[in-house]
Amino acid sequence: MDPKVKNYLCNIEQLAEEVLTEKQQIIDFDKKRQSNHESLAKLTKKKKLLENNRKIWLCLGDFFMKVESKKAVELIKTDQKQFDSEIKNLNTSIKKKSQEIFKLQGKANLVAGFNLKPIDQNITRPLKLDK
Amino acid sequence: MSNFLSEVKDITRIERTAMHSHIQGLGLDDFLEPRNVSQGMVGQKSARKAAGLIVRLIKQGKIAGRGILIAGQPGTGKTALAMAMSHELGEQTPFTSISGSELFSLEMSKTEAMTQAIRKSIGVRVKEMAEVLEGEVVEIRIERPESLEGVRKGKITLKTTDMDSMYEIGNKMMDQLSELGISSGDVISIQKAGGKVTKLGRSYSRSKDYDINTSNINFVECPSGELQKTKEVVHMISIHDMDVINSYSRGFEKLFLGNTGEIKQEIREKINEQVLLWREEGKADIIPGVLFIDETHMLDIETFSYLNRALEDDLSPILIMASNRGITRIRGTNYKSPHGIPIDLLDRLLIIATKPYEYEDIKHILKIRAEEEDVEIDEEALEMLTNIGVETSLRYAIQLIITSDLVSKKRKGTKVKLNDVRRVYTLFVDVKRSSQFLKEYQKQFMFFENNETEEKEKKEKEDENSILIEDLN
Repeated sequence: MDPKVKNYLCNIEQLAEEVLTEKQQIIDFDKKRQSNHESLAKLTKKKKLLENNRKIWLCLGDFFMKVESKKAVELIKTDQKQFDSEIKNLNTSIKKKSQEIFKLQGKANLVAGFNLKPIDQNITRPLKLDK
Repeated sequence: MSNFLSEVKDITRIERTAMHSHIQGLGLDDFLEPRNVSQGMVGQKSARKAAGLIVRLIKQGKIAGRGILIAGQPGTGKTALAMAMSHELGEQTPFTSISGSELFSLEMSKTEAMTQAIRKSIGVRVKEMAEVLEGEVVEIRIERPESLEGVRKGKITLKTTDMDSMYEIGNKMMDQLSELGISSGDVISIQKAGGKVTKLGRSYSRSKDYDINTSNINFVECPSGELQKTKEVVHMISIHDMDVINSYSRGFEKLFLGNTGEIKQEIREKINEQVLLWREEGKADIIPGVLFIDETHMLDIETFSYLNRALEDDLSPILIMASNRGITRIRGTNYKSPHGIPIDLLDRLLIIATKPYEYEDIKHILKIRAEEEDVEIDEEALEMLTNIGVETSLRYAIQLIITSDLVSKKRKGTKVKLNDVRRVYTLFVDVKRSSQFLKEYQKQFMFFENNETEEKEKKEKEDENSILIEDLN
């Protein structure tokens, strides 16, 4: 096979592989994010627990830890923030890579405009763009 | 019952073939060389090559605010060329097509009509982003308190093929869900900002739940991947649409009813500012499109001056004009000018000339039109039609295609034959025969006065002489 063709195909395949891995990562992160969200919702409702600052069992992946409830809430919140930013980064990376793939295939016009910064919904909704 | 309904649907889908519906593109190869018969275009090679070059420049954004004039005799493919260019530019480029006389109406002034046409041809590309929760409903649980005044508690469990999660929901959300009639097995989408719920359908896995289903249920797959997704949608909207929406509180209704009236200049300036600001912030792309004005000789001197200035604006589309007049009077003045366009505007235009078609080209075009209109025509009849096209005009020959098809169907034939074409030729007269007939019998038509025609003939002779003199100069 012509080395240029080989190179070209290798590039596309590599990018595609990376995109698929990142997509799977997002799924795993979101799973954890959702379970964090559920536990946070339950914890913040239990006012008596938080007032007395009793210790609760917190499951961190493989092992359990006994932590003060207020600290537990903090921990989960920071975890959530971490997940949010990680997922955001992954999303931007996926977008860049898929645009690259489209460009290499000569279909750049189909993904034109995805570099644009998003406009707030309050402004776009009155424009009634979904016809 | 369902058979009857499907018949009704088919009737409403009748496709009407328009004059230029057979054109799919310019028919150029990768080196911008025109193929003789391709994508609905036939012959006219140099004009197509020029058009191809211009389309490429437009796509690269290197020709904003310029103008092109397609000039040639009637029936030489000017409008066809413009249609082909619009197809080549694709759906991403705004293409507005108007006829010169459309600008004159009682509802709005010429400059307003012109401004609207220009602004319809400039597009803005923006992106909307929303965080949504998309999944199949596993269960909705609402706990009603014993007393009527107590607060309701609600929980909804959503799942995708990879995960599931439970959310606590408030009163408004519960109301929305019950209004939409959402139950277990429905696939829904909830916007995190604003909490709007959209029902996407019912999950396939539940299609066998009931033996009989109503026809309006659409089954969708259970969503895969993560529950909380970021959705980005890119939209293209013309600046004119933005003007309309901002100038009336119920602007989007007026958008569909067509009548927009005059829009204030301040609103237009505000929109321009906003769009330019977005462009700077990286939130929008401005896409200059194409404004095609057919029958340019119908525009008058005021609209031409307006066009001159409009072309020099920051946001201006590419102007393509078509004219089939020679040296003729500019409307609104007593001066004559090539194509009826003032020389200062002509100077800014790139001119593409179209030539009359040859015998072989006309034959090809008639064949393509016959295919487009679903008419089978045999070789002899095609040759006769081509001869008619050469003698009279291409348009007349094209009109004869569908009419001779009707005649042949009447005698229960399958193909159009020579005699069908002959019959239609005698039934429908072309321009030359019609004017000849008029000259012989004009005394018998209504409102005929001898002196009128004599004066007209005198003036025509004078005009001819003046053109000849100008040519000599």
